[in-house]
Amino acid sequence: MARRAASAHKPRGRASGPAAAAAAPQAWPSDAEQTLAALRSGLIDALVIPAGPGDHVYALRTFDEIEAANQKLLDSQERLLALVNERERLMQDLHDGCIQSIYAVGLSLEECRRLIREDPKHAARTVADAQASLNLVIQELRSFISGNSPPTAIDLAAELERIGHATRAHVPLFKVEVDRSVAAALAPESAVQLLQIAREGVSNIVRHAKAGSARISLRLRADKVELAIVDDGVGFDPHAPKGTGLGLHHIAARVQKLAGRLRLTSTRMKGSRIVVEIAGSR
Amino acid sequence: MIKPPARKAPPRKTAKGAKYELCLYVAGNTAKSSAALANLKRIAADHLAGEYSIKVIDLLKNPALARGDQILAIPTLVRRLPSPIRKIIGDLSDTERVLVGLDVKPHA
Repeated sequence: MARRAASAHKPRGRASGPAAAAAAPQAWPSDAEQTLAALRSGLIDALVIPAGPGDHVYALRTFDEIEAANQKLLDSQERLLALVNERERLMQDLHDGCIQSIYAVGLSLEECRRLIREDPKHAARTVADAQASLNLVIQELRSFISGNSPPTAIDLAAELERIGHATRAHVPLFKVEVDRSVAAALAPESAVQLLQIAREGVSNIVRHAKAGSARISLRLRADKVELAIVDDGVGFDPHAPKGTGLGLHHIAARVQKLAGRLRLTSTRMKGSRIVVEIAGSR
Repeated sequence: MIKPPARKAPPRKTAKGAKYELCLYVAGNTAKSSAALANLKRIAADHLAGEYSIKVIDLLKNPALARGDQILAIPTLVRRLPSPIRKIIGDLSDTERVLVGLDVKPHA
């Protein structure tokens, strides 16, 4: 523990100003002032701390004990912070991952009701895709339950294609433009985060945008990987506060994790753009 | 009219006749507590001319005694007499400060 000179032990002047201080009798420092000064100077062994509500029981606490207690408190604080961060991450992953995947499966099955009559073969393929998606969701949920991180090695291009495919029943002109070489070159963590961002963005379009056309694109632009999710729907307020249901704060948090840049632009009745830029190399 | 300087009343002696009644709060034989007791004995012998009594209270044995003099830290010397009560917190290694605290020397 750092010890400093006991300057506060010097008696203090009652009046202000050098002349007054010289003339007036010096006040003896209060107990608290002396204790603080002695603590800094290493002149005391222990503090006397009331150990019970009635001031009838006192406990001596040496500095080692106080430091140990402080360390314990800091450790608890760190553990609590880690738990809060982990909870936040789980919420984000469940919201942007599993829930969006299940939502997309629901959209596919809804489309199947029409396809069963009009194009049974297409319907069968869609059901098979939905089944595959549900298996992935089960895999993700098992990872959450076991405490392992969700699988990180994903085929981002294929996953984005799947999102686009599942969405076409609600947004007829949904395009997916993915540079496969860019997707393949991404670090696994970046690919997972971009996929979750895309899922969240597309989910917003399907649920809220009432769009006629939309696009997901992934490309390299000026040495940056750019993910864009664009639609021509009713738009949204990009400055809407947290908790308004659009999950934009989840997107922002993921972009922050990637040390990237997020641009949200939207005009009422003229659509919206979510553009994420991250560093291009692994 | 210029008032004559107030004459200081002669210090009252304790029941045992000591001019300085001192009480040192310690916590067992820790380094600072032991140093405080040794410093106090030395300072008293050198500067209090035999007119003192020293009582040592070990708060490890009876922490509740801290309540009476509202002790915050260990070691603490309490000058019960002459009044007013004065506390000097620390290991009493700064002799000048202890003498000022006991009013043996005037404040600098």
